[in-house]
Amino acid sequence: MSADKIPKDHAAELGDCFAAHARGLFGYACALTRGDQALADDLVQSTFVAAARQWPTMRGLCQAQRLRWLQTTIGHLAVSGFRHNGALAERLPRLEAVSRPPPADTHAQAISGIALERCWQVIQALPPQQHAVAVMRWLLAMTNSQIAAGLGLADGTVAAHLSAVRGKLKAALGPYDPFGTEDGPAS
Amino acid sequence: MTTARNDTANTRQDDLLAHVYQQVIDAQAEQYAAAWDATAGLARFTDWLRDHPAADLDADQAVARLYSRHYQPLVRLAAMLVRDTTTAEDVVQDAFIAMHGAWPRLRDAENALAYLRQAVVNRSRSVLRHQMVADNNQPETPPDTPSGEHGTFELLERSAVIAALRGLPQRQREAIVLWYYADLSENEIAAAMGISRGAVRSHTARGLPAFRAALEQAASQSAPPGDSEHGPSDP
Repeated sequence: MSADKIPKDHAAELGDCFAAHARGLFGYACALTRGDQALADDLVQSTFVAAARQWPTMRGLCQAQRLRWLQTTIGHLAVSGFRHNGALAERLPRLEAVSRPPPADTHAQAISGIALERCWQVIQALPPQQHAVAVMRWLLAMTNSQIAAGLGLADGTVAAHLSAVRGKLKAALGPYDPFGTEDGPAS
Repeated sequence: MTTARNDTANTRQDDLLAHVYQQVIDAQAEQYAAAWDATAGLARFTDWLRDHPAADLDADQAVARLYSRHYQPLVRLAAMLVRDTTTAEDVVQDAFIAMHGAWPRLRDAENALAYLRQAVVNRSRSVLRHQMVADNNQPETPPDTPSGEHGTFELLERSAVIAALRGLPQRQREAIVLWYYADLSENEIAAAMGISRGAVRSHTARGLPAFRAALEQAASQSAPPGDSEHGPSDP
């Protein structure tokens, strides 16, 4: 192991990046793993190891883009833990993707703290597979077929999980009633 | 209840649920972050940085080396496939950027070069597809913009070659460019084009006679009278 071969400036930059973002990423990973702090700690480390490998490219990004890449990466690593062979871990988000602007927030209306708390309870109580599918769909913006391929499930299973989670969250949101009447007579 | 209607409803719901999920996770993340042990975490990462072999971190240098050695040849290659040097330069620069991002997977210069060639061919294809659409809407195409470093003679010769190439179907043109001008082996051409070796052979075999004929025709048109004995009649 020739430690001195690591460019000093890269190591220093990575240390700064770690100091700036690790705390937030740790919290994010805890939330994704629903409170598994030891796992979250590992995920933070793995994410920064991945960042170190991509650093020659990443160092050119601005802080916001770096953070977005780190969050997406830790999300992918977290959900890959839901599958035993960790297949997703090999498919980290491409750096190009993080230069996209974030999607416009079409739901600026604040959801009440009570509703959010109820939703968190719903999320905490989800079976692992439903949780994995929901995170991949709504936090990582993956399509149903990408999720199916990533978790080794049938497309129909993914759709069924999503529909189950939708129903539970809808009930938890309660009076916020986001889905209006257009949803039709639900079964 | 049709499936299409369900999908529309679900898309609308998904926007909102993504928002809900983000808010819930963000709120929880904020609470959990308080438990972060910054000192231990940073020490762990710093240890990794110190112990890790530098091989994974030398992408910059490797890419710089590849750039200095292969940038110009790749631009010439791309220029044979697309129509002008400016576009060719864009195509090659894009390929280098993509290759840089993919470096952790590629890890050595040989893989990287194969990746670059494939990226150049693929990107040239999509440029051509795009140009075809643009040409259909706007018949007046701007003239080629030669880059200053090329001599006039080379430019003339190349434009004849490019005109001859342009008459060929796309795959034949690619196979011939990669073979004659990039000097690749059959295996390398097959990898760059994403086809089998047999298909490479058949594209070159069909493309060559047409290409030669077009070149000869161009030469006989531009050559001064009486000079025809020096024409390209060698096998």
